[in-house]
Amino acid sequence: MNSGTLRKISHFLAPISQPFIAIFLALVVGAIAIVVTGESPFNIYKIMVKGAFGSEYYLLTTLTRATPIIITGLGAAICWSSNYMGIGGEGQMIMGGFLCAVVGFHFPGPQWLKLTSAVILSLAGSGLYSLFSAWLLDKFKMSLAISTLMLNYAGAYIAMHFVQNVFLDTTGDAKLVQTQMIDESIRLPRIVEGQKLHWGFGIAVLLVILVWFMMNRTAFGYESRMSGFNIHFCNYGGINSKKIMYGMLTLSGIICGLAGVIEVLGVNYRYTHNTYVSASYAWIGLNAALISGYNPIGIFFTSIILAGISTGGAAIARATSVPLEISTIIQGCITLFISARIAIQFRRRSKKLASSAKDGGSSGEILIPETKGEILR
Amino acid sequence: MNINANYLAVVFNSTIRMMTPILFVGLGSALCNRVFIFNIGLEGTMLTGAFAAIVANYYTGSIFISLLAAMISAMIVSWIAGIFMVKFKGAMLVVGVSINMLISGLTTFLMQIIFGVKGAYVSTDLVPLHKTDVSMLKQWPILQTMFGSLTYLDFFAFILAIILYFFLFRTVTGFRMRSVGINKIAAQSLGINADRLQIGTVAFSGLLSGIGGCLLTMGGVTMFAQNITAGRGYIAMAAATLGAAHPLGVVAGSAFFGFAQSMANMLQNSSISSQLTMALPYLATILALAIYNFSQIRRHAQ
Repeated sequence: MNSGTLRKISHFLAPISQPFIAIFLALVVGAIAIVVTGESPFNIYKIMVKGAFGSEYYLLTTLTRATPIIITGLGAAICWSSNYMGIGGEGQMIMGGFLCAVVGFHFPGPQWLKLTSAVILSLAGSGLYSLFSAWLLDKFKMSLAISTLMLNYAGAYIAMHFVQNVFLDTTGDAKLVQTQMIDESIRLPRIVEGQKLHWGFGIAVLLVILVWFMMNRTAFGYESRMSGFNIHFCNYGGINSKKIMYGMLTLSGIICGLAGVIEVLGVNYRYTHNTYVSASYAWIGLNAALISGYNPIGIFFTSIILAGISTGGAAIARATSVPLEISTIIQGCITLFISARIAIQFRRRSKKLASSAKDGGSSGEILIPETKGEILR
Repeated sequence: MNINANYLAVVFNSTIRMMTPILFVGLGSALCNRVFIFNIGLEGTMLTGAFAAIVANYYTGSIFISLLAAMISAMIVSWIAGIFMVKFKGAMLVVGVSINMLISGLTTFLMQIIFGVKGAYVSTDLVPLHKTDVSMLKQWPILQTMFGSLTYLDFFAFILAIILYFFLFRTVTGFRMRSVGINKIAAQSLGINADRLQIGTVAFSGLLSGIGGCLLTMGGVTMFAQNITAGRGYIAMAAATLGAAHPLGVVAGSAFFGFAQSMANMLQNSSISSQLTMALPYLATILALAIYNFSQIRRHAQ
């Protein structure tokens, strides 16, 4: 085999192999944690795989859990790929879920009207919630990371206030802060009768295709990716980067809100305080986006793997003495090890830059990674 | 609610107790900002410190070892984060987010293994931080209320801010750190080992956040709850931004958040919904940053 083919193969394998290396290293860290509890890692991982994908029931449970992760992952990907690093997915998802549950139950009129207004109002609400942090960035140059984080906490408490004091369901378990259940006729139907998986998963698949199309086949998606590479170049080239910022962040908020809407319509049928936070859907979604390099199709598969780790972790906690959080440890490690992959891409880009400069800059790629961290300041 | 001198003294006291954990972490964040590192992982390292303090206290019953364990463990975690950020050139937010997630899982995991409980661990056997003796202020009950039931660490936080001010603006290392923050490549061309300085700063900021975490779990009530930091690390980052990454500015920034937090606690006894008062510190952060940034922008425009 000559060096040319070898390079081609390694070029092809490089982006795929790195997530696998990261997953492997994360599993090693997880194995160490399992050894601490006195169990055998192989045995535990066997239970984990079985509990995630082992039977039709487990597989469908994993896919149900993957649905909000896929959607919030897409939401994170579209703003991160345009270099607006918002981490407000959780707050936006809470807004979506809370508004959907409240409007879906209390809006006057027939059920179809309740459903339509619930979906429209909750998506508008979560979009506005994200738009607010975009406005803070634009008008006050406020770090998007800080404003979105603060809005996550504030949103959770504000939603809790309204549930506790206005919309509380007093019929059921008094301990839980939750709203009343929406009517059966407006719930999302199940895909397989008797299983948890609902048509929200179908919506997620459709959204993967739509977001892929938007990012790769539309002018807006192209411009936003360009502004992610170099905002000064974009402004120079006549692209309105402000329009992109507002558009991308609002869209990302709407998509994250949709994750909450689907959780209400398909799984819980109500909003319960702390469910999205304790399952950390939005954070796992963000991790899925980071691991797959903002590629929608990659996000789809990564989310299923990460959701599998969560459901597998639950199976471990049921069967053995290993705590549920083993899955959080593994998920966090995967992303940590993936962050080093970004470094490799970074180096490759700078090499390309250097070589294209040598060729007289004829290469069409204009990537200046140095501007990446700028928006954080 | 009747507002008199005594009430204000109570507010003052509670503000100090609320602000000092944030101040320690905020000082760490300010140092990171000075070397151009946006260290969001401070939330996770603070949690590490909080947890390590409880564990060390559980096994040894010594508050000194507890503090040491908090500092060292948080520093190690932060050092690893620093290596990923600087050596492996991982995006700072990505490293921070994953460190926070990892630590949140790891502390809950270990809490179940070590203490065998879920949610929260409270024990009266734990030895809290020593309280300062305020009996010499007997003649002035107001002063006694103002400075009563504070720990030595609370006072040390303010002294540390002054020390770090001199360190940052009066020593060679401080000068080098600031030069790395202004232009890393230029600093490197002058022979400064910028990578090592950045990693060292991140590790040191972790150590400070460890003290903050220790103060959180060993200060007033000795307890550990799942994700007990509840975004205080993020608030500390906001305090550092608000204080323009200047150690004395951070004191003012964290005092503001300490006040917001203590008002939130005070208002819980009133008729205002307790959930809304809990949202108050986070909303106050946004408002304060908006006002601060707006004044900065106006000043630049002139």
